Amino acid sequence: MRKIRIALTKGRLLEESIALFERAGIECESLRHPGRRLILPIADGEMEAVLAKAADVITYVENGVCDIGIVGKDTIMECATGLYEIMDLGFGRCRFAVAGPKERTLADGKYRRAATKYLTVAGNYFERKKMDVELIKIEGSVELAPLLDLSDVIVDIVETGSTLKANGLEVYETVAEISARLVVNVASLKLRKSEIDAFTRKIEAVLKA
Amino acid sequence: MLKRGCGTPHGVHDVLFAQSRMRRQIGTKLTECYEKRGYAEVKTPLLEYYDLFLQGESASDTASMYKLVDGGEVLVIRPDSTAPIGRLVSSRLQTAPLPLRLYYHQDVFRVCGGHRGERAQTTQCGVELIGAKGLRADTEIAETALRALAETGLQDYKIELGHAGIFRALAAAIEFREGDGEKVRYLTEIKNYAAVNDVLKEYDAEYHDACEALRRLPRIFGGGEIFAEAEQIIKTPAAAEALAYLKTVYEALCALGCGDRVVLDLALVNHMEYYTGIVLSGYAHGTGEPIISGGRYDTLIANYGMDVAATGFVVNVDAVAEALEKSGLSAGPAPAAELVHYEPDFASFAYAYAAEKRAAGFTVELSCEESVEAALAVANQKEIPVLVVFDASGIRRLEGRTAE
Repeated sequence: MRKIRIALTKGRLLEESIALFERAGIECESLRHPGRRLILPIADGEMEAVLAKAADVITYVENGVCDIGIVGKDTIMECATGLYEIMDLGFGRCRFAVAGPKERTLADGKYRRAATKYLTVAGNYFERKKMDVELIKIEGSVELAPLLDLSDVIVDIVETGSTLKANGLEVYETVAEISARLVVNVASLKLRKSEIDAFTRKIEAVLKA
Repeated sequence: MLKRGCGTPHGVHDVLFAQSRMRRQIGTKLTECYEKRGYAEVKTPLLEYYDLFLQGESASDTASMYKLVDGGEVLVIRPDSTAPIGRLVSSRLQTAPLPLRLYYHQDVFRVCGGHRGERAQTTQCGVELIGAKGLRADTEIAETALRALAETGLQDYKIELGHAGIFRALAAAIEFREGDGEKVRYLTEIKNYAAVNDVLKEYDAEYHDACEALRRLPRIFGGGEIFAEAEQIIKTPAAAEALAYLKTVYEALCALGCGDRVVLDLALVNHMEYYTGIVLSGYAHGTGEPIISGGRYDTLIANYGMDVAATGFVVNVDAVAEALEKSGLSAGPAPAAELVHYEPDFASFAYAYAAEKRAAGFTVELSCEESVEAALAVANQKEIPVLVVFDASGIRRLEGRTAE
């Protein structure tokens, strides 16, 4: 049977994931020097890791080709349909927010158009608030849309808020709090319970400490 | 030229040769297994009224149905088979003697949004046991599920059992503020242990026993050993009763020798609006999606006008096939043993010869070529080892490539 495989989100979450593994006593030297390899041995060869973009982590875990994943709640909210989200890892904290021009002429919710990369999250949020807002998908810097008058507001991830501030925008409302989550494939958790339990117990011990 | 090229719509595919054969073989093995247990086949239409699927379904499910309009009526392409069977039972089978044992082998369709490897069309092969309640019926369904999967040739698979009444009774013991009950259910379903905890915090003082049980529920899955722990923490009477019943069914399965394939999960809470008792789902190595799912749904059929208890399960034939294919099994037919070429005047000899070989169990193809050389080229290309020629010079056997 193949080794337990974990999909890790590249970028800032990866740094934190490595730090978490090290504190949990899970060997992960290969993650620091992946070279050209795409599947990396970790935990002294007991497990395998793959590094992927956030949305791909979800795809790999949902399809069961990876058993476990570390991915942001933002990506889970945007595109996950069926996986276990068993742990809040506490790092990668930020939030989804509705932001707009500082003059706050629109802060009372009278906006009609919102620019966002996250159509599902934004759509669900406005539906919940019973607001009729047209969503405009922007791939790059979403902050540009209200500046160019393409949209009234944006729905985006906000960490420090400095990009917003530099562009004369501010947060109107928080949509959801975000942090990195440990996700598990539904079939894997049942079929390989003891192996996955052993792994999650190590992580849990660190989080509780 | 076709406007959209020769592609197929998103989520549906042509299924060829070995893959198609594999799926048919799985279907055959399952249906044989069902028939031997007295289940009779029904087929329901591909098109149904939209209204039919609004019973016991959530809004997101209605969004994923393919809809079409016939005059003024909204129709859907069958997204599952249980509701149509409920309709059938309430109408044409209303007076049939109970219990009814029905099986079906047909495709269901659901819109799939993202390009993430989901299927829009899935072949399902399942059973419904209608008009029977209690331990005997529940044991029969779980045992049939286990035996049916064994028949398909799967090696590594597990079926998990739960009871919808456990979560339902625990949740009902707490007076949730608006939305919190559904939140706890959803978080339990995705096993988000920490978040279940957070939501329950404010209810803990007033409903400590139920909260404590709900907090621990997502973690209680595994073998028969879980009952000891579960019995300790589940004190709400109706939930404890459901737990005790689940244990009885589990023990019955163990006594039948299929306990090693069964795991238990007390937090199986999907489709809570639908299931009323024992629930089951199954997984196999090689596929990330459930290969089987089902359970008891005693209230569903009443929506269609006949108040009758029912239970059943459905095997996802495509997922089983994927798991078998990943394990290296292929159902590809071997190339034909012989290719028979004939001059038109000798057709009757060629056909008689081919019929005799086929009756003896061999696959024989007839040549459509004009010449022996062309027929030999075809045999070589298709890796058919023997070419048999019927012409004016009699019968000749040419041995594939060596004959060149």
